[in-house]
Order: sequence, then C-alpha cells, then structure tokens
Amino acid sequence: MGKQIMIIRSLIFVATLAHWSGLIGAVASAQTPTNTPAKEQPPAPSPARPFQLAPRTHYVLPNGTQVNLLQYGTVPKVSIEIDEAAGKVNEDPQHIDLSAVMAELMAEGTTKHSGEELARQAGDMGSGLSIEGGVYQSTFSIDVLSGSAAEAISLLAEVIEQPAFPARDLERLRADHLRSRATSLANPGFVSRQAFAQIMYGDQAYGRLLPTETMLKSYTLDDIRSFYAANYGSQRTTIYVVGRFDEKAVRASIDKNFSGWTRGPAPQTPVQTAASGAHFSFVDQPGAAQSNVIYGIAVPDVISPDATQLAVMNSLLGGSFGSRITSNIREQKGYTYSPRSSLSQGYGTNVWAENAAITTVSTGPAIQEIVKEIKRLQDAPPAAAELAGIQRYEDGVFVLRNSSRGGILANLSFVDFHHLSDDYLTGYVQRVDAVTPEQVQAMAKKYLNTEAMSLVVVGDPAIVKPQLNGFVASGK
Amino acid sequence: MPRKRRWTALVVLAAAAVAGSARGRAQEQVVTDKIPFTYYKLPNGLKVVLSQDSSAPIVAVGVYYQIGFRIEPRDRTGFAHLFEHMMFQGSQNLGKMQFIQLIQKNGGILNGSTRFDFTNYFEALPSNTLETVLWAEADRMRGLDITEANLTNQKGVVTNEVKVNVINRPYGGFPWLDMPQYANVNWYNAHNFYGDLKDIEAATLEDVIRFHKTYYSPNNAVLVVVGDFNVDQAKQWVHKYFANIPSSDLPPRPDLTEPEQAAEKHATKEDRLAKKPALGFSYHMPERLTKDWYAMGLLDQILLQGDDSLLVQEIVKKRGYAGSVDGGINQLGNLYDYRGPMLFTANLIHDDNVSTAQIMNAVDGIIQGVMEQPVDAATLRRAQIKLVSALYDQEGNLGLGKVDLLASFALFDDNPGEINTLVENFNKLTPADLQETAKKYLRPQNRTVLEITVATKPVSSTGAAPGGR
Repeated sequence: MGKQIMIIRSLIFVATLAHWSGLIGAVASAQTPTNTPAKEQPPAPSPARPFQLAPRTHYVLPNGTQVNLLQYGTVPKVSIEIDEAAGKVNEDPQHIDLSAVMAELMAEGTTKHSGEELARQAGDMGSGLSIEGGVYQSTFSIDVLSGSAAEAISLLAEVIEQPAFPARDLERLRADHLRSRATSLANPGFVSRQAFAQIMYGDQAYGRLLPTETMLKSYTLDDIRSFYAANYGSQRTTIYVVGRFDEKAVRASIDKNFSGWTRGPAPQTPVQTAASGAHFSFVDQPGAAQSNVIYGIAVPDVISPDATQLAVMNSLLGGSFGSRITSNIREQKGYTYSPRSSLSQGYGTNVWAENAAITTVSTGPAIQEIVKEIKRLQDAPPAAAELAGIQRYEDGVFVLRNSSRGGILANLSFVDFHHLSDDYLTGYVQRVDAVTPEQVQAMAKKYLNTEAMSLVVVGDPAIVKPQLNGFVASGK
Repeated sequence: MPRKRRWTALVVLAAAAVAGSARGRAQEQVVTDKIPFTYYKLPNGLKVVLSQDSSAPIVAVGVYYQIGFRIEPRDRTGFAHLFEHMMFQGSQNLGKMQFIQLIQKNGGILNGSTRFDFTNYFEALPSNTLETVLWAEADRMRGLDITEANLTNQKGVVTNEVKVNVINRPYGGFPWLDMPQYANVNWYNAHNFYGDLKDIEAATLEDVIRFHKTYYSPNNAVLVVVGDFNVDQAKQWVHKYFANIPSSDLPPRPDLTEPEQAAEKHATKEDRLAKKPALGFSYHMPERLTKDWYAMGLLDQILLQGDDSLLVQEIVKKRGYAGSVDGGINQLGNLYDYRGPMLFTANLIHDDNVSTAQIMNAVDGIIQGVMEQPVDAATLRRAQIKLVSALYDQEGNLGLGKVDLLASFALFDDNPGEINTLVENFNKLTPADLQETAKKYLRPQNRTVLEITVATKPVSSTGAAPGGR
C-alpha cells in the first residue's frame, strides 16, 4: 500500500534477513524447572546515552518544490528520494496501476538519454535508479557515493521532468505486469491480502491491488502522457537528501535542476474510508498445507489523539516478537511461524489486523486463540511490568529506526505524508512512555470489537470450513 | 549534464587499506584502519572482535558458531536450523522466551539464522545495554535447559516455517534451496537444508543436547561487538561472562570438497502453485579470497547486479523475456560470509511462449562475450564502484553488516583485517584478469540449469471468488 509500508519495512528488516528464523514470543515461562539453584539475574543496563534526532533543513523553491536535507552518519554515501504526489488515487478505476506503469516507464529513457545510458550513469555513482508506484505517491530514489550527490540529483530531475516514454518499453512493461499479476494471484499470501483489501476498501484505491488483464492490455502511450500531464509537476514534488553530502553543491544542483520545472497541478489527497461491520471471505485453496488468515478492523488514523495508545496496544497484543498473540499461537501452540499484527497507517485511514499463515488442521483453534487474546486484554489492563517492557522496546526500536539514512528518510517522508510536524518524531518516546495500562485496555475495548471484525481465510475448504462454523456463527 | 566517474571515495578507501599496526599484548591485534578493531582470543578459544563506531548510540552484537546446515547429521536434515530455534527456548538463567523478553525490554531487536557454514545469533540495541546482552549470550553458550514440550513446540513452528516459505508458496524453494541440491554432488552441499519434515519430526532431546555439546563451544565461535562502546570496558565484561565457559573437542571437519564438474547439468522441477515457468542457472565458484574469487565478485556486478548489468540489459530490457533477472553469489548471504563450496546463480520467471533454449541462447551470447574479449575499462570501473558502494551499505545496517563481515573473516580466516583489504584487492584486477576467470568458471561445463515447470493438473484454485459473509 505504498508509502506507509516503508516505515514498517525499515523496522522489520532484520527479521526478514534471517528468514524469520528466531521470531519468538515472550510470556513468563511455566516450564522452568523448580528444584534448580536460584537463577542469576541479568546485569542492569547503564544509563542510556542521550539520543537526539538531527534536525532537517527544509525549504521551498519558488515553484513549490519541497526540499529536505539532513546530514547523517559517517559512511560516505547519500540517499536521495523524490516523492511525487501521484499514484493510484489519481487513476480512474478503469486504469488501475497506470500510474505505476508510467513511473516505471520513466526509467526507460529521457529526451536526452536512453534507458541503458541512464542505468550506466547510475552505476557510475554506485547505485541503481529505483522507481516505485504507490497509492498516493510515486517514489524515485537512488543511493549513491557521497561525491556523486549533485549529479544524482540531476539524473533524477532528468528522469522526472523529461521522460521520453518509449513505445517499445511500454509493450515490455505491459508483459511484465501481466506476468507478475499471474504470479501474485498464484501466491496464497497475496490472495489473502487482496481479499482483505477488497473487504476494507472495495473500489477505493487501497482496495485496488491489481488491474484486470483487460485493463493492462488497453493502456496506450496517450493514456500515459495524459496521466503525466495531469499529475506531475513541481507543486507535487518533495525531495529528500539524507546522508553525507556537500550541502552547497546539493543545493545548487537542486536549484539548477528543479526550479525551472512547471508547477503542474496542485496536490490532491482524497481520503479513503475503511468498511465497518463484520465481513467474512473464504477463498478456496484445496489441498493447502496452511491457511492464510487475516483478521482485522478499522481503527483511528495516525493523526488521532489515540494513535500512540493504539500503537502501544498493537505492539503488546500482536505487533512484537514478545506480544501476547505470538506467544500464544506460536510459542505455546506451534500453530504458525510468523504471526503478526499491524496498523496499516493509511492516509486518513487505518486498519488493525492480525496476519498469520496457520497449519491447516489448526486454523479454527488458532483464530479462537486470537479472539481470546483480544478479549483478555479488553477484560483486564496489562501488568505494569509487561507494558513497561513493550514501552522500552518501542523506544529502542525508535532509536534504531533513526540510526540509518534509510530509516531517517522514511520517517521524514512519513511525517510529511500524514501532514504531521517533526514534533511527531521528537516527542515520540515521551508519548509512548506516557501510556498507562488502563489506556491500553481502553484501546482494545473501544476499537477491537470482535463482533465487528472482518475475517479472510485462504485455505483448504474441506478441512478448514467446518472449523470455522462455530466461530462465524458466534462471532458474526 | 556530464556525469564523470567518481574516484574520490575509492582513493580514500585504498589509501586506508594498509596493514594495521599491532600493539598491546602479543596475542592481541589492534587495528586503527578504516574499520578499526581489536581482535583476540580467550584462553578457552573464543575469538573476540571489538569494533568501535560512534555514529549512533547503538551497539550490534553477534555470536557466530562454526556450524552450518552443510554438516548437520545425515539422518537429521534441517537439524542445524531446528537447533537454532532451540537456542531461544531456555538456558541456565533464562527460561523459555525470557531471552527475547530481555532483549525487547532493553529496546532491542534480535534474531538468529542458519547458513551454509555458520549459525548466528545477533542483537541491535541502545548501547547502554551491552553488558546485559553479553551476559545473556554467554548464558546460552554455556548450556541449554530445554523440555520435551519446548522441542515439540518448535518442531511445530519449524514445520510451519517450511510450509510458509516453501511448500505453500509458488517458487518457494527456488532457487536458494533447490539449486544446491541439483548443482552439487557431495551430500554435505547437496541435501535439503531446510529439512525433510519427517527428519524434523524425528529429532529428540538427546540430539539437541549432543549438538550443543559438540558444536556450541567457545573454541568454535566468534563474538563480535560493533558500535558505540568502550573497548576496555567491553573486554572486562567479555572476560567476566565468557572466560569460564569450557571448550570442547571439536570433531574433524568433514570433506566438503565438490568435485570438478565435467559437463553441463540440466534439471526440471514441477511447481504445483506456479502459473508461469521459471529458470535458474548456477556456476560453481572459485575458492574464497583467491584472485579468481575477487574477479567473480566483479563479474557478478558486471553480469547481474543493477539495471546497467549485461544480463539485465539483454534478457529484460532488449529481449523482454522476463521482468527481472535476480541472483548473485551466495543467495543465503553475501560474497563474504561462507567458507565451503559456493554457487553463482541467476534466476528469472518467464512466459510460456519463450523457451528455456531461447533464454539460454541469449545468456550464452552475453557470457561468451566476457569469455572471448576483455570488458572495457569503463565497465570494470563501474563494477568496482558498485561493489564499493554495496560494501559501504553492508558496513552500515545498524552495525549488523559489519558484525557479519568481521565474524566471517575471524571465524573462517582467523583474520578480521581482511575487511580492510577488500577494496584494494578488487581494484587491483584488470580486464584481462576478469577474462581469464570467466574462461575458467563461466564455461557451460561448470554450469547447472534448473527449469521450474507449471503443473499440468493444478491442485489449487487460488484466485477463486470469495465466499459469502
């Protein structure tokens, strides 16, 4: 789902790097042998070293281009990202992913250079050009050696401002999108995400994960050029430069390469609404070894006064390795390997959901345990020590997330996307630490109404459906 | 808009890559190089690398044991990985899940992973918690305290891991798990590393205890700390918590040699979930840290890494056979973090209307090109720049990337200082060197081609209409 995914990705990369192999929950052990000598206690940490976010330099070019510069780190590299506020929300529903196809086509040539020449120039700076279409934004980024910062900015500017849209490459990208569409639909995990997105957002942009084949086959260069003309321009452009770089040279390059660009259209940020009420969707996958399950509900968005309390509640309930749901269905029951709850953090909308691939015969029991954990939190506030552990975890992860140029850039972009101020970041730890056990309980009671939760299951109907009968009857 | 090639960073790196000065105790190596570190061994054989980097108030800790999935017991495929899970199930002073709790409540992230030649356990945390982490890692190095119930639980978790990553996922084991099984002939390199589900089920508590006793000893491990900490203080803590862990008699390392391949191999595997065919091809790599190995590192950049690479340009951009060509050297890690025989692999998903022969014909056109004539100077320089740039990223990564390199060079080569010689060694090579290596290692006789075919009778019907409410 575009932009809001990035911050989550930077958070969990260590786990994916390791194939999730050590993902474990934590609840006080009942298995400890009783007649062993007293346990040695871990040494206490020393006082924390002060951590301060480096402030960004922000300015706006006369044509509306937003510029953000932040010096960080010792490694001689710099990340440059340009967010163009144009994506799925700007498409009409008959042209799903036109914005992404268009953005990808921009890497294939400008009025001055071929796609191959652009790729070589990027390689000469130590990187490749990366383009990703999103829901509200398309992202153009490059991560280069520090000495190439100014040139990299000029390369990105050329790609964004002077695309050639070569016809031959449109045909190739069309074939690629048709192929990856088929591949996505063969993946049970993707199928579950698509079914859940459709329940929550229907025909809105967050619900349109894939175009139809007919749509993809219909896109023309005229469609592409029209979309570009209607949606790209300096008023929709935000530049981020994070890492080690020569600020004078970078500012001069931005000025030279971006200040002459056309203003284009004003940004549009339509708000989408998540569905309310319980919905149930079962997608048949006969013979499946596991069921891909998503269980969730609409909750307030990231600008709500409840946002921090919700985030802490999520971390304690299912969002961290040591969370209650993970402890239960993974570490006690062994039903699944990688359960996780998350907040989608969409623009003006938010969905809490637990997502797990569960062994087929245990699908019903695992969902019952998820419900049980939600109700347990609704019935009683967490112990102060349990909550404190989660708060320290969230605080620490915040420091880690701000200890790489990619993480810092994702945070800045997140704040801007949601129209927050940098206080969101500088006050983050303080807000997390202020959450009380009663507030966590209140969040679960107020927002995680199990009578109104939606459920998606992709699995073997013969074995799994009978397991869900009781659940659907009583839960819905 | 001229874009000159940038040499500044390369020159700085090369100048810094001189041998570090050793001082202090005889057994201790103190290097004040581009990447500074202190390297020593405890009397029980534990290797220790401490590397300061104060760019953020965090610390990364890794304990790497020289036991990978290659040398797990023959009747217990997947056991090295199952055992990795057991390291989180309880030790003398930390019950089940308390290790995780301890790291999380100190604001840290953690994980473990099982690879060809090592199993590692690592954490990244705010730097004030270093002593706590060292204590906890020492506790589980000293011994485990695990119940039958914990083992049963983790067999269930690991079985679900194999299902979600391989069995219930299109292209699940392709090519990272499949290819070594087809390309290699020595069992140690060619068995199913994730494990037969029957073997995972058969594991016993005795297996777990024996495995820890055999391989999880200080003389088979390296401890690496990278980040914002005081080296003298860290040395005291390392001594306090690790020095009294007894060493063990390690079994002789089995013969991992992969015999030279005489003819091209071809294999086919059906994927019952895939809707489009896929293709992978692998070449056996030269031995690590040799001149040919450095050259292959650059050939990987030239052939496969980035949109500028020759195979991406040919297969993706010019011919449109695939949306991407992925791959590289050591698909379960990187160029540096392995010891035994390794593969250089490329893989892609393609449409039914393009044959394997067509694709391999296009691949051969490119590969023969680098065998028959030297690459031009600009291409070589670009490969060197990309490689250095990637190395910087590896060194960043919350310090965990630097932990990985220092651990590998200490564990496999007894020389963490290799980290500071890499750039110089890559930059020494000439187009003629690369051509010579290409002729030796990119021959079809050194290659395995693996086709993934679409099942003719699909078992699943994913994508079907959702059911009612």
